[in-house]
Amino acid sequence: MSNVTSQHATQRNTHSYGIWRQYPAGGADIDKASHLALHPGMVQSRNMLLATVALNGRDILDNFLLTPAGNLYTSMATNLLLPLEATEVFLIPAGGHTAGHAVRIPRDKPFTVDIPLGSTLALRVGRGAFACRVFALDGAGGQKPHLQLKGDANGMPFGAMRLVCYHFASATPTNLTSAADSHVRGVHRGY
Amino acid sequence: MEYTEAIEGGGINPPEGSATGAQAHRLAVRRNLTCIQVGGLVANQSTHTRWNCLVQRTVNGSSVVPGHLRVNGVPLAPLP
Repeated sequence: MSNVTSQHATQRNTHSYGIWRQYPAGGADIDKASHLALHPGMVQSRNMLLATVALNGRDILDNFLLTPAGNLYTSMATNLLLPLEATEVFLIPAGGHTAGHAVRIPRDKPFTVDIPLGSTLALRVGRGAFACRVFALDGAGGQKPHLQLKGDANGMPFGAMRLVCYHFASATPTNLTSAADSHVRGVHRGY
Repeated sequence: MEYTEAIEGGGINPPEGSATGAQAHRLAVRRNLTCIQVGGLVANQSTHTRWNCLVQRTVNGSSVVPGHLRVNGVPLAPLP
């Protein structure tokens, strides 16, 4: 059920689902998202998965510069794609010692829900269930990381929403080339 | 510098053939955090945050040995 992708984007758009028809026209306006190499380290035992990824802001994607000024980011995020048709979505606070609460999300229009770091997100789809917790997440470019559950106009028609682990987000395109941005962690566990 | 992520928890489902309930799992991934800084570039992507920065994966302390993917018990040939 879990599908981890990393995504960065230059300029204005964050095309998280790689839907080519929705990429902008070519020429100087090219600003499609690129997928950073995940550098994954995964280990699974039965129904429990520990997934670690490490992004490198220095990677020059697709072997060409995306902007004249270099490898500029307006967003660096690791996305966990989740089924929009989940019949129930629960959020359990960090520590797991208190009862969770249902998260109400619309199925017919885009949405954004802030998710506190350290909390556990649980979904029920029919007779199946999935729970995940992001317990290590690095920021990049000096920013603090944050989590959001998002439904996008690009993904909802395909039955997808996403848990977005933002390492960096800015309206100003920014180079993420310092040593501190060369091993950006995203660590998830899922059941 | 090496770094280990580890989690421990009871499985939701009991192990196959077990009548005693869920069994605890301890999963760990050990990575090298600094090997990127000495690596080179291939197609402008750094080589040293790839698999070679992954030091060890363990389940209940035992190293995970990569094997062929199996689907419903049928081994799949390695992909080209």
